Amino acid sequence: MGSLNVMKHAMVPVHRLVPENEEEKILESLGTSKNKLPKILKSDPAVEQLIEISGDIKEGRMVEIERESPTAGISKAYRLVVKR
Amino acid sequence: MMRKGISKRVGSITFSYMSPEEIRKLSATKIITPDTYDDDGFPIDMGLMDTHLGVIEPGLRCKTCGGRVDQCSGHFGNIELAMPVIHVGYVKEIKKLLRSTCCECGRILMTDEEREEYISSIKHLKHLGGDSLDMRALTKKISFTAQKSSVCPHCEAPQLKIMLDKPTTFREDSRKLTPKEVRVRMERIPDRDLIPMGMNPDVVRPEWLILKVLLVPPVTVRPSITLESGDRSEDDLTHKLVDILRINQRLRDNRDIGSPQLIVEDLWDLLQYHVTTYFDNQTSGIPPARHRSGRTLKTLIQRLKGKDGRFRQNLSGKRVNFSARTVISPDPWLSINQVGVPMRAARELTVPMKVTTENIEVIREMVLKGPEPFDRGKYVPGVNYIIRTDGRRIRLTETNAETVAEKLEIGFTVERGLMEGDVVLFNRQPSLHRMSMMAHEVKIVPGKTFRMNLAVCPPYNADFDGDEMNLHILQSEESRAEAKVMMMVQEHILSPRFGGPIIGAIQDHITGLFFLTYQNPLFTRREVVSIFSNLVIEKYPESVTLDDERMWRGKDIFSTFLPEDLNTEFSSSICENCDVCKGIECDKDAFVVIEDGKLLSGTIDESAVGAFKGQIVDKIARDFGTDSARLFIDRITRLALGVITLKGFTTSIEDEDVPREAKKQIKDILLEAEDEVRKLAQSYNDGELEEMPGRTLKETLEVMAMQRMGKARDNAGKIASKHLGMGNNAVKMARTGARASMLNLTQMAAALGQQAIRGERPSRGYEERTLSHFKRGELGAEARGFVKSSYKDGLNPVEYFFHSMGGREGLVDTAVRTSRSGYMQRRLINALEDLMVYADESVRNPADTIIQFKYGEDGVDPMRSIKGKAIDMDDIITDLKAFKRGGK
Repeated sequence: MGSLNVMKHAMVPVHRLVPENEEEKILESLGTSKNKLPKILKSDPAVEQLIEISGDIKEGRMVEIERESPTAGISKAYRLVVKR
Repeated sequence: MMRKGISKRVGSITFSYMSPEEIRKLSATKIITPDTYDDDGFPIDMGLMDTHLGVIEPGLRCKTCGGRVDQCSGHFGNIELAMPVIHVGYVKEIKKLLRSTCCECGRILMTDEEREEYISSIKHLKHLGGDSLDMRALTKKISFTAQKSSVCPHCEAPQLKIMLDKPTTFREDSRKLTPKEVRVRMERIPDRDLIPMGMNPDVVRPEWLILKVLLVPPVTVRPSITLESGDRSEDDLTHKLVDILRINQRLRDNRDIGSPQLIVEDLWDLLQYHVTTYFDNQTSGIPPARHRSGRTLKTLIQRLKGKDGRFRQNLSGKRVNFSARTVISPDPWLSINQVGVPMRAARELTVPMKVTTENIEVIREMVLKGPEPFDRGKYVPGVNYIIRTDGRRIRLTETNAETVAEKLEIGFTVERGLMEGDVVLFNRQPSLHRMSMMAHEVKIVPGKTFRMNLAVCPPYNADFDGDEMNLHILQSEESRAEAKVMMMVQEHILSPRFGGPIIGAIQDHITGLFFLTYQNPLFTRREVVSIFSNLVIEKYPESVTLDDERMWRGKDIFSTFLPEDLNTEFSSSICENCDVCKGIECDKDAFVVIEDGKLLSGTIDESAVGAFKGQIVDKIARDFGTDSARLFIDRITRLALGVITLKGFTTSIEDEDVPREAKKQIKDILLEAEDEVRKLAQSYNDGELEEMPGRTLKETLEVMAMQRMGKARDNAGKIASKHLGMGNNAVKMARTGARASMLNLTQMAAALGQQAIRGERPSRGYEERTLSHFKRGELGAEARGFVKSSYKDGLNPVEYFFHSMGGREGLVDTAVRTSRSGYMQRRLINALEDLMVYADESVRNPADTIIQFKYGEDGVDPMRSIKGKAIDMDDIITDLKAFKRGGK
């Protein structure tokens, strides 16, 4: 029995692991640095799901969250993966 | 003023504990005697009021710095404690340290390798931008893991469980640890072992958590007051320090003469008690120290904490000058962005004016007139104070006006009274949203109350049953400019709360405009003149000629005030939501169409111009600017008052009269419903009722009964409203949205209907019944709070009781809701107060960390949004239609 895949749930927005070579470009476009990003726990169910797909995710990697919104169309947010 | 060059900048601040050495170094004098003043009333040396600690009496000089009362802010002293005591504020840290270190060797209860690993994980967290909260969580976790080991990995000594007897006593397996022993243990902990436990050994040592020396605050912090009788009354802190000194002395004496251990320990505990209450007099587990009168003492923590503490009382909020407060009253002759200020207040409140080469003669003229000038009985601003370049204030009086005016120089500041047109802030508490404090222009009025236009009542949530409001006078050019641009009432017509107008016509305004526009009535010349005598108009309405008489149509009169290129359509409040909407052809005159600023059809009521709903107000504010919107509101409200004054309007209890046949029908409906509920209860008792999915049998019955009763009231209401037509004034108010609702009328005319407690039929009171008049287990309508009477008929005693139950619940709910939502709001404000939206639309905190990548995830300003949405397609389409017609 596989555990629940939260990513498939309608209420969970699309999570994507940002490839390391894209990180710098995104940070520059946001005008910020990694330590100023909001955080996401490595133990977050969504991140755990990402780990299942792409193998271990080290602390300090970035996750992109794509949300659909009635007013903004698609809004992107970024999170820094941290361990508690 | 010239800004002085900043030569140094604060890079960082470190908070730490104070070492005994530091306290001694800081101390101006040692305090040894508990006495304060000698017989002549002079402070005793080395006493608590020693002049080395600063002075509070005028005339004396501080022995430390030589300053007088206003020059010397005071100096600290110190008390050498005979025996060490535990600092209440630090018990948690001490407990953590005791538990996670070895009782023998003082090392942290983990191997060196583990320790180094944790140190590097702390460094890593810092690197990733962890804040103090993250840090606290991590070090807490580390200490917790250390506490788990029962044997020291360094010296193999077994570890006993350390318990804390609240508030300040530590026990190791029921053996009491004296503060002295605790201190020795703290001293043994090596520097490097402190890092994993969250302490920085560069600035702090754990033994400082146990007090050997007590810092005595300067006398300026705890001034004594001299009563009229000449008696001195000391501050609570001084009282507490006297207690500490007394016990400290007795403890020292007893220890030195070698008294029995028991006596010394008792005194030691007493000293601990006094020092504990000196810091926090509400420590749980010990009785608070009291004044002779029985009042609890206000010691250090009490000075800071809570609503009356330093932070919330004196730092987050302060009493201010240049403000006034009085009762408010309505004044329809004011514009919405004016405020009427009574003359007495205007004389007292001042605005500073800098004297320059440009204005010196004008100001001299003003000064010459003195503090209370009049021009042929009319108010003229006076001058109250002149501030010279050296900072001296001169109060202007009738007598010195001439001499002061002569001496006026460039660079002086003159404080003049309020003038018409001054920009001031007007506020009503509770200030729940930004519209609770808006900028108004001053208008001087007679009387003693502040006056305001009725259309600004909704944003302030004000009425005139005795409400008071505050007025603040802006004191600088910058603040005035800023207030004018951002805080003027007209800038707040659109609310960020729901993206619509919050300022608009209310009550009589709506009724008035309804009379003007419903069914497009005709007005004679006399009537139009009477209506227009209320306002200044720029253009005249078109007239029609009927039977050789010039007449004016209401809709044409209203159109006079609409911008020329306004196009919009929507349905009025009176719209009955027919199955097929006939649009412009509506026979109820409920569909508003405005083409090129002409009202072609529809009734102007709440959904056109009302506060919260007014679509015309909304559109004008959005498309024609806030100034046009302000003018529009000012004019149509006065127009409405003109119309309603002409027509006259009243409502009485007769408006709720319904014909006898209708009464009969209503009664039949209610009886039928009652009967059905009785049947329901019967089938429930017979076990014939079927359960609804997810509900018990009982719940099913209750839900069905509630539904049936709701339906009964609606039907009764329908019968009643059938007989209450648009010719009825109460109905006019309800339908147009001016006041009350159809439900209110139904309850007055037909029946109150089912009363509910927590959304259910009343069920508690006596055993298995609500009142002793009913049989046990009775489930019928009457026994469960159904009210058949109307307000007009009056309720019978049983109904009255059920109605009171519902009413009480409402009261309790509001009381609970306000306090709860107030607290929630306070927490939200504290959490969000210093977030900012940056130029790239990101929301960040002062540490520059990102909270939202784009404000609200869509970057939409809720105030400029259309009901929360970025664009309104319908609106764009009407505009396009107008364009096609050949408009602009």
